[in-house]
Order: sequence, then C-alpha cells, then structure tokens
Amino acid sequence: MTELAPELVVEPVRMRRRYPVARFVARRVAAGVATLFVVSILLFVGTEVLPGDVATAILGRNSTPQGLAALRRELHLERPAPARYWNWLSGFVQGDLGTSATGQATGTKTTISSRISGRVGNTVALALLTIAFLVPLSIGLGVLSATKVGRPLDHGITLTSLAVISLPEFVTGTLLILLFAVWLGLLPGVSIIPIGKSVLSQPRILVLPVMTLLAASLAQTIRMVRASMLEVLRSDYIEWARLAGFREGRVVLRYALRNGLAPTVQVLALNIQWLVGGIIVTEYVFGYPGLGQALVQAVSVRDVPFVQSVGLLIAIVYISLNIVADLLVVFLVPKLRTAQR
Amino acid sequence: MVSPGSSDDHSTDPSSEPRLTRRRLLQGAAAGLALGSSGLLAACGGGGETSSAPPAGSTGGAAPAASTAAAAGPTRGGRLRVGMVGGGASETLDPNLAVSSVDTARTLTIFDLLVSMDPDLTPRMELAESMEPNADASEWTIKLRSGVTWHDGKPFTADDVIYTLRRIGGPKSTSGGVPAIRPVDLDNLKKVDDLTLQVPLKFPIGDLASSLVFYPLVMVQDGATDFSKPAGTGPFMVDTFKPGEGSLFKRNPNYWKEGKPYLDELEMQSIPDAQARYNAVLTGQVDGIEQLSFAQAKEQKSKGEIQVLEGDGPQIVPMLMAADLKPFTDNRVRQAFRLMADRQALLDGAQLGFGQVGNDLQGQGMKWYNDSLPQRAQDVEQAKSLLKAAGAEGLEVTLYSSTLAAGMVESATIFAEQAKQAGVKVTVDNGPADTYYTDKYLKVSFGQTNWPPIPIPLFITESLTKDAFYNETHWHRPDFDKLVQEALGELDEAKAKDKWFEVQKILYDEGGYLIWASTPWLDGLAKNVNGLVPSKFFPWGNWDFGGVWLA
Repeated sequence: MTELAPELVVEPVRMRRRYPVARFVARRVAAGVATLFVVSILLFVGTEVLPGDVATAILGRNSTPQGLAALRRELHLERPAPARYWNWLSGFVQGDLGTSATGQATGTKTTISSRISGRVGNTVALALLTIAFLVPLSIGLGVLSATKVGRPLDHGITLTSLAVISLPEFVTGTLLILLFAVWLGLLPGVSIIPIGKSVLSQPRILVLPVMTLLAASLAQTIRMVRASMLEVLRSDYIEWARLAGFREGRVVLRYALRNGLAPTVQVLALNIQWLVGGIIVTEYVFGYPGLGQALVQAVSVRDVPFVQSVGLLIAIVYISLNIVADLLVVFLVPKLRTAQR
Repeated sequence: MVSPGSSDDHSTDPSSEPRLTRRRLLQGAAAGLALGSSGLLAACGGGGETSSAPPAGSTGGAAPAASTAAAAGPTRGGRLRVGMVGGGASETLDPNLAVSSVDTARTLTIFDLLVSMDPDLTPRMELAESMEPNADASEWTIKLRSGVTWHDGKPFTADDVIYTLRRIGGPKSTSGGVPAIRPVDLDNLKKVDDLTLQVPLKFPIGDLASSLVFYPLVMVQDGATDFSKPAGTGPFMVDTFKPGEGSLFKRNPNYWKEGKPYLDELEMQSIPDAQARYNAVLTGQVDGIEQLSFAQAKEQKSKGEIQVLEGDGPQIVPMLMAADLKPFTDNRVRQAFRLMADRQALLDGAQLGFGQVGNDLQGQGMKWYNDSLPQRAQDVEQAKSLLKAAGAEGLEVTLYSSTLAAGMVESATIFAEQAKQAGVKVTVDNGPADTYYTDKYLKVSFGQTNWPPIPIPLFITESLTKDAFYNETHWHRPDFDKLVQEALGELDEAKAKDKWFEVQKILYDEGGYLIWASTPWLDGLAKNVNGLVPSKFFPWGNWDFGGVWLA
C-alpha cells in the first residue's frame, strides 16, 4: 500500500470532538455486542425449533420413553428454555463453550473447546491463505482492468469473473476436483491430512480449497476495485495530475489507488466475512478437517450445544471483521474521521 | 489416474516416529443418526479374520488361495489407507459404544471375536477353540485358544472373556451386543481354568456360536475401562486415534494368526461425503473406500479404474406393514401389497440391478433360511381380488420413507407406481433422515427400515417376538413366540431346521415385511490391494484388514 501522499492530506478543519476515532470504535463495538446478543437469541431459538431434540437424535432407533427421559434429564433438556439459554450464554461469556452433547448419553463428557481446538487451526490456515491471495489479486487485477478499460485484457478479466461469480462454491469445487484431480491427476481431490501430520506440511491439499474459495470471492472484489478505480480515474484531480505531466503509473498507484481503495475495503471485508460461510461448504466438499466440517457433522447428529457455541463463535468473527473493516475505511478516508455527526 | 505426487504425500514413510501422545480420545460415543442406525443395527459386525484363503506356509511369503489376480503370494509391508464414512465426534474405540461402520472396522482391527463369520456365512472359531453344550443346551463350555497374547504382552484367558461378557451386559451398557448375550446368565459365569469357562444360559440355545459373531462381542482385556488406546488381541495395535478425522494402526508382531497381518500400517480416514470418498480413491489419496453408491459401482464395473468388492449378502431395506394398524390388520391386505410389488423392477430401479430379488424373508443364504418356499412374484389380479375380498378397494395409504439407506426412497417411489396397477394409491412421505427413527419408526402403519445381515434366529427374536425391541411390523402372536422359543433351544440340527422353516413359513404367509431385495456391500479398492475376499456378511471382506497385502 502506498504512503499517503502529503499533498492529499486534508487537515481537520476543527476538532469538534476530542477523540473521534475512539468514540467511533466504542460505538461500533457496542453495536457489535448488541448484534451478538440478538444473534445468540436467534441461534438458540433456531436450534430449539429444529425437529427432534438431542436426546431423540442420540438414541435414534434405540429410543425408549425411559431412555429418552433419562437422557433429557442428563442433558438438562427438561429445564425451561430461558433458563437453559441463560446458562449457556453466561457460560459462553466466561469462556466455557459447554459440553458436546455427543457422548453424554454414555457418560463421556467432551468439552466443545477440546473438540474444536485442533480444527480451528486448520480452518484459520485455510482462511488466511485465501485472504493472502484474495487481497493482492483482487486489487491487482481490478486496477489492471480499470487502467486497460475497454481493451481485450479488461474484457477478459470481466468475462471470466462474471462466469465464475455465478457458480456456487460446491459447483466450483466439484469442477476443480474433476479437472485437476480426476482428469489431470495433478492435485489431490480430497483434503486428507495423513495421521500425525499437520495441514501446513501438506500444502498440496490446500490448493484446490483455496482456489474454490477464491473463485467465489475474487470475481466480486475485482469488479468492485475496477468500478471504484474507474470512478476515481475519471475525477478531476486525476485529470490534473495527468495534465501536470505525471507518468500514468504514478498517477494510478500514488493518487488514484488510495481513494479507490476505500470502498474496496468494505467489499473485501464483506467477502472475507462471506468466507466464514463459504469455508463450511468448501470444507465439506473437500473433506477438509476444519471447523466447518465439524459443524456440519454436529448439525446432522443434533449436537445442539456444539452448533450453538460454534455458531456464536463464527458470529463473533464475522462482526469483528466488520468492525475492523469499518476502522480501516476510517483510516483510509480522513474525511470520515472528522465529518461525522 | 493416480497422481504420483499425491500418493507420495500420503504414503508416509513407515519408519516415522510413533506418536504416542494420548489425546483425550473418547470424544463422545453415543449413537448418532448420522449413520441412521442403532448399535445393534448399524453394527453387528463379524470377525476380523475371514479370509477363506489362509496362506499355505503362513509366513509373509505364503500364497493366498483365491483372492485376486495377483499371481505372486502376499508380500509383507506397506501402509493401507482407507476412506470410511465416519461418525464424527462420536467415533470411539470402545466396543460397547461403537456405532458407525468406522467404529466396527477399528474394533475388529484391534480386537478379536470368540467366533467369526466366514465369507459364505459359516461361523468359524477364532479366540474360542471349541464350544460344547450340555445335554439340554442350557449350559455351554467354551475352550479358548492357547498362546494368544494382548498387545501389552499379557496372556488371553477366561478372565478376559468373563469380564467382557459382564461389561457388555452391564446395567448401563448401551452395547449393540446386549441382545446377543441376553440369554447368558452373567452372574453365574464360571472360570474352570485359564482357558476354559462355563456359560450357563437362562434358556436353552442350540446354536450359541452363531450369536457370538457380532462385532460388539469382541473380547476386551480384563479390567479395561480406558479405551483411549486399548490393548486388544487383534492384528493391529492403536498408534493414533482422532475421532471424526482418522486413525493409524501398527502391525501386531505377535498376532496369533501366523504370518498375519501383512501390512506394516493401516490408516483409516473419515470422509463423510460420498463424492469426496470416491474422488479420494480415484486420485490415489486412499487405497480403498467403503459404501460405493450403486452408480459409482456400476461405473467402475465397466471402467475398471478401481476394483469393486461386492459382498452380496442379506442386507435388506424392506417395507413394513404394521399388523395391528389399519388397513394392514387384515392379512389379505398385507398379502395383496406383497403381490403388488414387481421385485425385479424395484431391484433394477432402486439398486441399479445390484443384489438379489427378495422373498419377504430375512436372511437369504444364512443358516436356516427357508429356501423351500416359492419365489413370490407380482400378481396384480390376485392382489386386486384379495383387496376386494378384504373390502379395501381403492385403498389410499401413506408410505413413510426417508433417505436413511441407499435405495430407500427410490424403492418407495417405484412401489407407489406399481401399486397404481392394483388400484391402490400410495403417497410417499419423504421425511428427514435424522428424525425418522424417532418420529415415524414403529409408529406408522406403512414405513421402511434397514437391517444388516444378522442370523435369522436373532433377527426374529429382535423384531418379531413379544419382547422384541424392534417390533417393526407390530407382530404380536403368542403361538409364534412359543414356536420361536422352541426353535431357539433345539439342539438337534434337523429338528431345529424344521422349526425355523415353520417359523418362516408363517412369516411368508402372514407377515408384515415386504422384503423385495437384498442389498450388497460395495467397496472400491485400488488395483494394488489384494487379499480381500468378498463377504456376504459385512464389507471389507468382513473387515479383514489382517489379510490385506499390497502389490
């Protein structure tokens, strides 16, 4: 990212508030916490209304009325919903994610934290790697496309991104597996980590999942960067810079990019948030041993405590990303720091 | 097909350091509906060693009799990597808690049974050397194989057997083995000497061996309570186990079957998605997968990129008519429904031609299967006249279905079409798989179920008698129960056969099961995987990883 061009810095006219950024952050965080509270209620109610409860799911074909009653007692399912909600939320706030329902029927207690500890790292590795490619690629290709507007390269990038943007990740993933794994035999089609190895020691298994996630998110960000760069490139100050005889490269990178990035940060943030959901689908398609796969399995066995706690964790990540993105925009666009209510 | 790179990545060198970290492993254990079955039903596994081709010289270089095309004998070494459906966090190494097929596979990799089932459904002695009944079959004396040791070096004795049986039958046990040992008088089990024990029964059982072939009945070590890394007597020892992800096993050098196992290492990976499993074996990331779909198996039978291991046994996905609920209270209606089914069309449509046409009786090919009864075929006219006689013309029924088992909802849909010919309107209700067993099963008048291959006496006691836990067809007949009890206690083979034939004749004439086909086990194996013989009992040649060798 380029240094802030000194000639573009707009000095605050006056300091209406002493710590506008701090106030902004505080407001955003408060809103985030409020949102999380609502999310926690929705999660709880949503999992409550699912047909069948944990007890019936665990016992399945073996359920007897006595067995069900005993298991429901064990899982505290006979307590009223508000009490269980409060119990769960207060535990969660204190860092206790609760106990996984799977295993309780037989007296095996497994904390949710211990179940996800190994998987969080795998998922984070996948997400970070995707972001590491997503950000430079979308900015690079978007800027390139904007500077070559109307030329074959621009058309090529636009058409390709339009084509892949319309494919959901399970389709992209399947097509990539077909092409690279089944037909060409170049890459593993399933992300199996051999026992005793870590995901980072097997970079090959990350390639197709990362490509799948990129295919679904890159198109949108490229187009957004392109659009905002085009707008900036058409503005008067760029025209002046060109007239002043600056080289085009300098005009684009030094003067246009900075302003073009502000809306892009929001779009990037949106896409990174989307990744949180996209990863769940992608992990399942590739059999990647991450958090998403565990979540899908938990839903299928009605491990409600697991779904609730991991769901809320994901919501926290999502909302935090939102706040970080907003802050980045504020830092990128000085006007926002000063011109608030 | 196989990418050289990817197989290199995964065929990790066997000399890699043993990872002895003891993670908290029993991460949950209860049955989940993920695999849509209960302990007994999902599991009922057989013995770990069923190769019908024991190596002649019984050393690493001995020749397998009839397994695969490979001409040279078995070779020692290598790691076999298999892709299993998996059971998520509920995966366990405790045989009492095991539910999913990967649990079964691991159980029979680590442990052994007293009696196992050969690929052709004949019981064969494993850890038991012999079993002798007393005069009225109310007590059995079991002699154990000598020289068997646990992975930790201790000898295998009668104490282990007594501990295991009591553990399975314990008050809080949820083991799938409970039904099988229900007749055993656990309190009075008696150790005669280190290798002999007496097993008194609550009622006579003429064929005890057949009821001991299920995987929940594997022998665990006396006093074992921690199953995070249990010691067994089986072909492989636990190295690493991560529930829901995978596990690694090392060769047991002191295995009692000489020369076996051939592999140095065995790796099991949980790959829940069917397409991902298929891709994994096609691209060489694993050497074998379980539960090929019918379409995948058909494709590979013509393409031949991988071997299809087809265990054509008596697994069933039948329809159920509840004999005490309208309209099936009238036997004529039940029989009419059985006559409405075009079984071959169901087989071709729902299972793409795999399996064998069924005759409304469970256990095709099993001991005491009544094969003297004529094959029932579609007869629309007779079905119509039976319905007319029962005053049930223009009948409308709902068939409660789900996607619990392969071919389930497909067969329901095809049957609904066939029923139209007899003027019966069948509406298929395709409900969610994860609540089917709690919301619909045992409650509706017309539904579906699935059973793995289990011996006929056990199937009948578990689903058709007074105390049956899975009385799916609501079959309450004291005279029938009495006949079953007599058949169970009959020591004379010929008489026992007659009695079981009579029991099945009643079910054939009046029962509520519509068993239209048997469903095979379909595994996909890379071309270099040798030594597995298709088993009618369970997949992977009845989980015979000890007999596998890599070319």
